[in-house]
Amino acid sequence: VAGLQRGSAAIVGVAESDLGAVVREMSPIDLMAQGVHRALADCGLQLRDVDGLLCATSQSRTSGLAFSEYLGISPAFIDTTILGGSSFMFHVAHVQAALQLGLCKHAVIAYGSTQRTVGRRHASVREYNPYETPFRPFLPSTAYALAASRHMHQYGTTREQLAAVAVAAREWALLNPVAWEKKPLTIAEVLSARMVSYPFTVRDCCLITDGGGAIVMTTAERARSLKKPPGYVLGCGQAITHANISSMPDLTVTGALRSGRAAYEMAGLGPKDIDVVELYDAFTINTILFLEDLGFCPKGEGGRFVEGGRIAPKGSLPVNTNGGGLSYCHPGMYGLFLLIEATRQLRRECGARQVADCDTAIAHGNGGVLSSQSTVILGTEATV
Amino acid sequence: MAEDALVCFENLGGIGVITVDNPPVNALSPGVPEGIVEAVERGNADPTIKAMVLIGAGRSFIAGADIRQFGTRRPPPVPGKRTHEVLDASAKPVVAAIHGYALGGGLEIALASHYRVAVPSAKVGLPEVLIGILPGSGGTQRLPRLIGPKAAMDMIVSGRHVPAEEARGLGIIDELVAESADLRQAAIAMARRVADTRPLPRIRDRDDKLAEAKADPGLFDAMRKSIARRARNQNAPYNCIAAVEASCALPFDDGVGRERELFDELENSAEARALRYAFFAEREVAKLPDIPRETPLRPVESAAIIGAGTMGGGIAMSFAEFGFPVKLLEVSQEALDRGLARIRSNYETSVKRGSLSEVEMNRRLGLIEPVQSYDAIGQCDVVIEAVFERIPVKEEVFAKLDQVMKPGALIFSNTSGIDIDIMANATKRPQDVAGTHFFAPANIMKLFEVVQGAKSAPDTLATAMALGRKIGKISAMAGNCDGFVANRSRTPFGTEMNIMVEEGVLPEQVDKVMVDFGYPIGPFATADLSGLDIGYDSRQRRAAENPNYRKMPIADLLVESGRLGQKTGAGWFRYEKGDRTPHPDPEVARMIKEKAKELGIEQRSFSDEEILHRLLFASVNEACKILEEGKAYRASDIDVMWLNGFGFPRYRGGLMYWADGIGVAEVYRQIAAWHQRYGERWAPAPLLRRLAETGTPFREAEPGRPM
Repeated sequence: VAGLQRGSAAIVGVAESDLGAVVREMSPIDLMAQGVHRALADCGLQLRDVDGLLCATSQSRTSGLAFSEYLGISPAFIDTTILGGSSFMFHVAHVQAALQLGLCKHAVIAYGSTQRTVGRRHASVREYNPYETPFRPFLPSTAYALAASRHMHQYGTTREQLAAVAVAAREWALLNPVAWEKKPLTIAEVLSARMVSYPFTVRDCCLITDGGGAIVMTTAERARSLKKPPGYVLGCGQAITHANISSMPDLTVTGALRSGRAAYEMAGLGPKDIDVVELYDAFTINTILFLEDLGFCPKGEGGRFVEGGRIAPKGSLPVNTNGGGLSYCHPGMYGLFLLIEATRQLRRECGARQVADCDTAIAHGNGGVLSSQSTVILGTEATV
Repeated sequence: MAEDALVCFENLGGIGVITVDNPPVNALSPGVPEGIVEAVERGNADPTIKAMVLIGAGRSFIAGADIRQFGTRRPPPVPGKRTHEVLDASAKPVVAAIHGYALGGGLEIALASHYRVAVPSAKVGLPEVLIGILPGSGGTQRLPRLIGPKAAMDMIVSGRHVPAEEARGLGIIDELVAESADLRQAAIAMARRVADTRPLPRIRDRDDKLAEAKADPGLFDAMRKSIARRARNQNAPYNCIAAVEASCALPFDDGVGRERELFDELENSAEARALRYAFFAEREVAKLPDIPRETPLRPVESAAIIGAGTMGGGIAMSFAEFGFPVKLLEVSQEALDRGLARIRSNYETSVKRGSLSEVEMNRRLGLIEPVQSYDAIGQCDVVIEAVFERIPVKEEVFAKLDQVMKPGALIFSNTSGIDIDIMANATKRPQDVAGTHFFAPANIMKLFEVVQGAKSAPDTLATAMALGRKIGKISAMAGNCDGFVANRSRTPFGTEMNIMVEEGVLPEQVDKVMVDFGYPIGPFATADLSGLDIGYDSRQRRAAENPNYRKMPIADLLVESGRLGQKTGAGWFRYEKGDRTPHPDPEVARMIKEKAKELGIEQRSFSDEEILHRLLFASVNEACKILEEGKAYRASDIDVMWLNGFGFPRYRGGLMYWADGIGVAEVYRQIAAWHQRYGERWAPAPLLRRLAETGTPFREAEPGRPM
């Protein structure tokens, strides 16, 4: 993003709220607050230090008001940009800009959702689209399934290759104590699971869980004096291409191509320099599309690329090390969790799933139906 | 002296006989030059020795350097201890006795000797230019002093082998002895004769022949100009000229210094590396990993060709050139006469051009016997079918051959596209059947593609490979698949050139790019030469067989409007009467534009690099599929095929070697990008992907399962 300086800001605190299926009385704002308190504790800051507040949720129309009231603060900088699951990557860029301008000193970015408890119908209301709604699409699955079908047609990608993404995610999830899924998964099981929207079975689709979390950001200078090693923001990039799938320019090419390029350019890095990759895997095709668009393999080659366990725990490229939206958690808008995992990997806090010698991480967010793409590249002190 | 010494020294009544014994051809491997130096020094130190003879054991004098030594780190030569320097410094005369080959470093040693005697069958030459370097042991300084700079440049820049008789005329050989005479004895006799002659005749001391350059200072520029087309993109020929030029401008020792500098510039150049690669690839191609080396070959002393068309005639000429009696069968008298007339006219053209003697023409014509009945060929050791490319016709011919050919006769087909097994199964002896695919013009192109049928016996294949070499070809093994290996790997190139034209490139632009790259003629001009109707027919056939076949509407349009290529005076280019020069034709540009508009294809401009890569990468990708399917033994075999079948510039090593220069990862990246842009036909071969991901060069690719 033009104007942002490589490494000028950092993520200093990260935390998940309760995940999975929360108790009935929990509200999305409760989960956000839980995340903020845990994230502040993570970096050793107090609520009174927070003068920047960013959040997004589909369950509160004016979440900025609700959340400020709940926390009892009146932030100097506030932003509730909502562009789907990638909103939090946009927030990172906005916070970085605000920090550079001195609009705030410490900002939190928070998310919470009780979609599993209240039901998706209540959590996220579908809007009418004259070109799609009459055909009764099962959204968002139908939209992603279209992209997957096109990819299969154009590049010979197979359902087995899609399934390999789900299997790799599951293998990572088994190394993550807080992951929703606890049992091993095979390609055959993915293929024979209940069909949701061809070519996706239920195992090609992300989980539907509750959950939330928060991250704390501050300037690079302040970051150095805090409790834990910061994850510096080396690069940010964003792109939106459409809102509805019927308006997507090319079903197999996402805005990640542009957002990734911008982020790499700002970071002065390329795909070869990235140690750990966190991609928004709402559906198995996402991982394939983003691996391609972010330059880890050529366009059309993603299906072949993920074969043979390449992105699984013992593979050559660690992707979605927390188990991803497919097997760890997916409370509606998942982007924040990618930033949390990327930061933890850089801090070497990930235990069994820790990627060795991990100094750079990419966290790529996707929103809508492949509509908004935002890429954040983080690095350790060594990379600044 | 050790039994296995590379160089022996014997004192035969006062004559020191130095024998180089490094089989098979006495190459100058490490130890050989040192051995010669030691022997010459020993001869000088021994007061009983009056003169020396330098001779090769076995079938040759010294056939040249050990090419594997080039481009490796070698200890720098000790000044004054290089073979030619030691020979120059010898106080006693040395007679070089030449049989077989005295090439490269071998001839340079002979030139540093004081006298040269040879048998008439010997050949001499300085072929270093052919592997991208120059003679680096004084050859470029001595030869001009011996035969004049002009003749020396001719030899050094062409690298040709000069027969002993001609070498005698030029002054390279002092004396010829009869083929039947004992060369060693003759050389010893000569050594005795000259033992007391002083001063010793050293070439380095002569400069009378250099006067030629003083009289004609434009000589070197004229030579540079004359090779400009042939030597484009190369440095070695120019450095050869510069070295000879130095021989005329500088004192001998300075000239040798200059020669060394010019040599050093070349040794590790891209062109020298590619040419060395090609040299070894052409040796490697003969190795058949799945056929035991000791497989006995079937005797082949006589041949028959079925079909006296252009290919059949060309094949017959190939056999006749190498002394095989060959029967040319065509059932119709008229076709047979036409075929023979074509052969005769080809020979007459060569005689007119001076590349063939009348005696040789008559000898060859005498070996070609026209016949009209299958019974007449039954006793031939090998028969090659070269009839019309239609399956029923082929089946009929093979059924007939099965009836008439003696047991054990080899039955080969020159088909360029029909499944060998169909023909093999038309006989009761499929083990004797294989493909032997010649490339047009069959008597000129070196490639001889042997195609394995499912039931071809190992000795059938081994004999086919050997047969190709016996008729001066380079044999390469291919698996049986559509187009076999050579044409199959070339086909995507042809497809892309047609499709690019639809996108806005003109034939002349494509041809210029490929000629600049190093092809002798551009691909569209080549298509015009072969006739556009050939491709048209096969396209119609393929389109009928496969609804997804990518049609070539512009090529079709040319044929349908009567533009069949050179033979009709117009194809992709237009031609003046009686002239083969392709001229860009605005009419073609107009037809292309109109057709593209009709098809709704957006027109754009292309960079030269995009054109080059688009054509060649398409073939690289196909070559990967061929390797993966195990239809070729190794990537370098495909290179050999491109060098010898399609005119790919040798100094670029071959298709796959060239692609390695670009880098596997880049080739993969580009092919995947074109897959995205152009669809299915550019889907990267799985092997290509694997190579790219593991960083393995094409030429180290492990082929898939055996043919």
